[in-house]
Amino acid sequence: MAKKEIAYSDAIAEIEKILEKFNSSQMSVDELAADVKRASELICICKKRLTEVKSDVDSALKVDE
Amino acid sequence: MAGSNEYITLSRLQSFIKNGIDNSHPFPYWVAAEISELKVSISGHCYVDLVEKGEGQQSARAKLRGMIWSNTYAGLSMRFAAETKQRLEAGMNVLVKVVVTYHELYGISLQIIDIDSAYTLGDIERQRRETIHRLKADGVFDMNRELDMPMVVQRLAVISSPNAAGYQDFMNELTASRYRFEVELFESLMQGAESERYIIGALDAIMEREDSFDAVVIIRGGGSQSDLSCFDSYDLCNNIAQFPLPIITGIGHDKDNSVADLVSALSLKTPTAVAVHLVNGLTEFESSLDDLLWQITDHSQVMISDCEIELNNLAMVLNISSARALNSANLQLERVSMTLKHESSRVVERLFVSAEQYLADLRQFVNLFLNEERRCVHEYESKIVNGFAQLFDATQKELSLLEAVVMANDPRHIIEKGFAFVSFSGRMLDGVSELQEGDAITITLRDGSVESIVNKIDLKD
Repeated sequence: MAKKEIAYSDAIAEIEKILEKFNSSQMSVDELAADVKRASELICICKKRLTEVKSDVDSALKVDE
Repeated sequence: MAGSNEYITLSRLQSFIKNGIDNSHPFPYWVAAEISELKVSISGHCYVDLVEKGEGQQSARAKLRGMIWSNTYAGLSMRFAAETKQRLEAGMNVLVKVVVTYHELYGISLQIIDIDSAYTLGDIERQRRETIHRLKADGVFDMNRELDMPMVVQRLAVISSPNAAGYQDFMNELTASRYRFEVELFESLMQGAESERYIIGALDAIMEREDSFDAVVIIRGGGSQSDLSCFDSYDLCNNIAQFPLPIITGIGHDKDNSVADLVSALSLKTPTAVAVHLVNGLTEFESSLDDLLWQITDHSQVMISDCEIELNNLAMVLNISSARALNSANLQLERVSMTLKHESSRVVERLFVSAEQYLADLRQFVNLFLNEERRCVHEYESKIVNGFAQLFDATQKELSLLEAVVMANDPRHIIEKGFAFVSFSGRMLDGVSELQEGDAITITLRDGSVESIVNKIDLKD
């Protein structure tokens, strides 16, 4: 499935929406598993993205020295 | 008729005139006039043309030659230069002490023996003020100063004289720094009467290549303090004020500023000061670049760190929230099942109780019913017994009564009483209707019977 990479800010927004659902206790047991899975997935993507950015920035700054 | 026998020689006439003049003007005068021309001869004598022009006029309405002897001129010009910071030159308004002199050959002239620098100073000052006023009135006074100085001033158009020490000092200062400056020199005279024209010419040349430079530098220095008058000129200052590039001046005053300093974007004391300022500018820029780099580094690190923290928080919250949601669903289930248990056992118990109750009620009802029936039966029984007894008694009584009646009605009994009964053909007679006369009837009495024949019948009606 060739999907366009989700934007970092969109991923964060989606995670927060899922957490919002938890808080408002509108969560149904059926959706629970699927939503937790999706949120964990998104967190993983974000962490990976952050690591990439960190290493890019570091190398960019080093080049300038 | 022309020609007279009375004549004098020319020199005689001159002599008369000279005497007349000498006698009427024996003393010196202080005269205010403008120097329209000034020449210094090889011998050191100074020859001037003094003129007076009307208000705003270009042509003179009065004119006289003047001269200063060399020995006077030497001291006078030095003192004048010291006091006014200017060299005595054409175009100046001066206040001079003069002696009217008439010479046979050269005619009338003024011998200048003294000069009041203050007058010229005042006049110079007045002209300066006028120039400033004109520039302000034209709205150009602030124009060069209001230009944005570029962030990096590196490409310089320098107006100076290449041989002047000022220029050398300037270049030395620049090359000694660690920065590379692109300097192009636009040669000019920086003093003297022609300097104004040259400097304006240099400005024009620079203007044609305006885009090649960041700023213009006008420097002059290490020379005499006099002769800065060109920097007060309206034309030059007008040019500077309206110039499209910022102009930095370093024309080496001791004190006051020229009008050129007032209109230029930046004015400093000396050429060296200008160079130092330019170098400092680049140093500051370099340091601001370093600062920006540091800020970028810092901010990007902070941003990344903040994102990491936020992600960790979200992961933690996700954990807790999902556990909590599961937990609460669990609790709910347990609650429901507990309730179910309670409710169902309660219902069963209630049903039990109800059933017991029914049973008891039923029993009670049956008992009551049976008792009732029993009572009824007893009641009937006794009623029957009583009733029968009563009936029996009653019947007995009745029988007795009947017996009595029967007995009473027994003919035997009746006979006893004295009555007789009649029988006819074996049957008892209760009436006379069926008899006929002559029938044989029997009459029975208590003690016997009589046979008789019917004689007469009397029927009762």
